[in-house]
Amino acid sequence: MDNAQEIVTFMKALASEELRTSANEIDENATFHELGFDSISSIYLLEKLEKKYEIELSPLYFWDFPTIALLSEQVKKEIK
Amino acid sequence: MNTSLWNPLDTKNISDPYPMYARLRKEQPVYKAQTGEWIITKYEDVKSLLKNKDFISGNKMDWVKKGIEYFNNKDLDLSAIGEAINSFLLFLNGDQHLQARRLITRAWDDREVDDIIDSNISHLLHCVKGNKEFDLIEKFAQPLPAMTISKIMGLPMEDYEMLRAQGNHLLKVLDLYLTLKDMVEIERSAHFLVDYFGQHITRKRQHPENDLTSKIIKLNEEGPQVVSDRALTSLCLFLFLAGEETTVSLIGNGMLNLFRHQDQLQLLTNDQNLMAGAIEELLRYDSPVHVVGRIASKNTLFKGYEIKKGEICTLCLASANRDEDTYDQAAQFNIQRDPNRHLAFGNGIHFCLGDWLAKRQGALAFSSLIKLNLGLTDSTVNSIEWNKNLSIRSLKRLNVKMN
Repeated sequence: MDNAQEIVTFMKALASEELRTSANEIDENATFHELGFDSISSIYLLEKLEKKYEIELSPLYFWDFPTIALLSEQVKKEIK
Repeated sequence: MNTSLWNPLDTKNISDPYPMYARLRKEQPVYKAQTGEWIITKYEDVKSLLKNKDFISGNKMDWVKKGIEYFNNKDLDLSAIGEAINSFLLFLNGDQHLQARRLITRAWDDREVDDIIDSNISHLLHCVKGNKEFDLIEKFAQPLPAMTISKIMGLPMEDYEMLRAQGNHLLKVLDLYLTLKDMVEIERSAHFLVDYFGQHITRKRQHPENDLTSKIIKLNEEGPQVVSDRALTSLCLFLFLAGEETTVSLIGNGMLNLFRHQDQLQLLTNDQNLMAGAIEELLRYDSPVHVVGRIASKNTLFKGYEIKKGEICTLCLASANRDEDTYDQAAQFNIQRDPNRHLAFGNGIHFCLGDWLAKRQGALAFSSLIKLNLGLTDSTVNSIEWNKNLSIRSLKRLNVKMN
């Protein structure tokens, strides 16, 4: 079972690729909006999470859990 | 913990969004949601923004265009969605909107429509004759508007079911929040329908007949300004779709609400002169279209809130129609309610063009259905399931029995 830290790492890697910055520079407590995601790139992010963890996520999770830290906690719950 | 007042995708809000609307109206009638959009829930506010020229249509179109570009960079082609919806009336502004609207109103002919609807209803009711139980959505509410508009537009009648199903996928584009899976499915249907309606237009141009498509093509060619074939395809597709799921919703939600309010059903059964008022109340009480979007075209101070240029307002028509400050006993279903100036068809320059057809189709459908003396099946009473679509609220199924 993936723990929350692994999910955080996965999301940071995705974000670094998407935003073209190093994964180390990505703050898991910054909002997705602050990081540079928007309502379109959110679709891509959620799709990647759904595929990787074989779950279904509400498109509203991007705003309801608006940081990498919060969303990874939620993803962890969905996996269970 | 999510403390937002705006949770439209929660299971309980999908099955009954009215408590969420009521709370928003009471606590935060102009609400900045977690998504960044403004949620507007009171009647006077919704009405005033529908009429305000600084709040324009087409936020979804802009979003789709950006999405197409974004996913194109990821080698995913979603361009057919843009082709399909580029001339949907609800996304157009200014002259482009007026021009398209004028073209349709000039080509439209009210006559003959009653006969078409009546013959479709007879056919559908004939098909369920002898069944003790049937699904009113699948067997009646879904096919009826598709058959009617197919006939009006001169589409081949053998295609209406397939077109309805494809159209239903495409219509998901109107939903507020989508996943990539949704987008891919929408793209597939968009691609198919753009091809199909493009061919339909070509055929009607070569062999015009006495149908709406042929009339639109002819009027368009006469000018003064000519709409491109690309736009014409999207416009015809819009005409086909606009009255589809909304009418399924009117008939399905309408019958459910009549079943749930037996006293009102009895009133209507005894006096069909109440039909016109009943339709208005059904439209108000459980409106087919729940939300429409607008974008602020400049910075605006609205009721003390600064709405910035480019921000989106989600106008909750269905909430406005239940506003306690506008209606006496707003939560009560009363087919004799008067006055009843609801916003189910919007307001201002985008007021729904199909209101007449929707009401006519509704009236003829309800008249025939109540004569059958139907009731909900026992299993349906406690398990009403709604489609997970925020913009148009409709039932998955409605199993009824012949009493």
